[in-house]
Amino acid sequence: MSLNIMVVDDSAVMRSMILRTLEMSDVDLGQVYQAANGQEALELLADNWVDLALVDINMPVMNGEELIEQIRSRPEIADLPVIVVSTEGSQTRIERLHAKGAEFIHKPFTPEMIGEIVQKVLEASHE
Amino acid sequence: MSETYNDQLATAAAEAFSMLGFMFPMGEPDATLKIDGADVVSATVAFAGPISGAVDLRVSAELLPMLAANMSGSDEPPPEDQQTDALGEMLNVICGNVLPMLDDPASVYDVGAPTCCKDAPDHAGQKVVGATSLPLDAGVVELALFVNEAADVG
Repeated sequence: MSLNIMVVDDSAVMRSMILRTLEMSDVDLGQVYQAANGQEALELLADNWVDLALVDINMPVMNGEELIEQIRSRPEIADLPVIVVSTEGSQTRIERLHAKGAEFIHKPFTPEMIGEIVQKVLEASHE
Repeated sequence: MSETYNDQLATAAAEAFSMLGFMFPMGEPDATLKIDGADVVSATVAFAGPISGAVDLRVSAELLPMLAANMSGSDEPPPEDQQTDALGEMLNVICGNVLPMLDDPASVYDVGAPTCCKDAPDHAGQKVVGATSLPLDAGVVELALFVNEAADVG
């Protein structure tokens, strides 16, 4: 079953990279949405069905952590699976993201790494 | 300068360039290596936390379009704004992988937006604690780690 994916990162190059890596990891992509910050992401989510969001942390306007809080506070999208794709190295921050129900993948990443975590997140969301 | 920070810069850069930029090391890191040619682009990113400072990345102007094309999967060199985006993103990744090694891995850092320029960035009030050059198949890249003068590192 194909997945509608949203990639949220202020770098257009990184968004392309993530999408290309997802294709290389054999994830069956349906509709693909892109947003440059958390605010744009929320606007996209208001109008479109998304199965999985890949989110950067450091972004202008609304950062990734604030976006996740907003997602979890809205009943219609509260259960959206979220994977944070970030250079964040602080264990403190990573644990905070896990507590908000997000998985984490560290940049740089390989197609295998991103494929594994996507599978893990989707299996968990179907339980 | 600390050999440890030199090594950490080199390791972070080698991983980032190979995994994201598809540019691979062609030898050992060596701080004496310099970028060929006069046309060099610099990028710097500041970080703030228990230790504050910046990381700089310098590449040849020739390498930049190749890096951007590799990262975005494009056959043609992307426009200039995407080239600087690619360089900034590469620097973000390198910085993010160096910071946990500065002190406690649990420490929280705020990393600014990277900026690119032709001239060397200004690091007044900072000291260099790590510097290295990495010979890649696409050319040499130079890296430096700066911390505030008062920081008890290096």
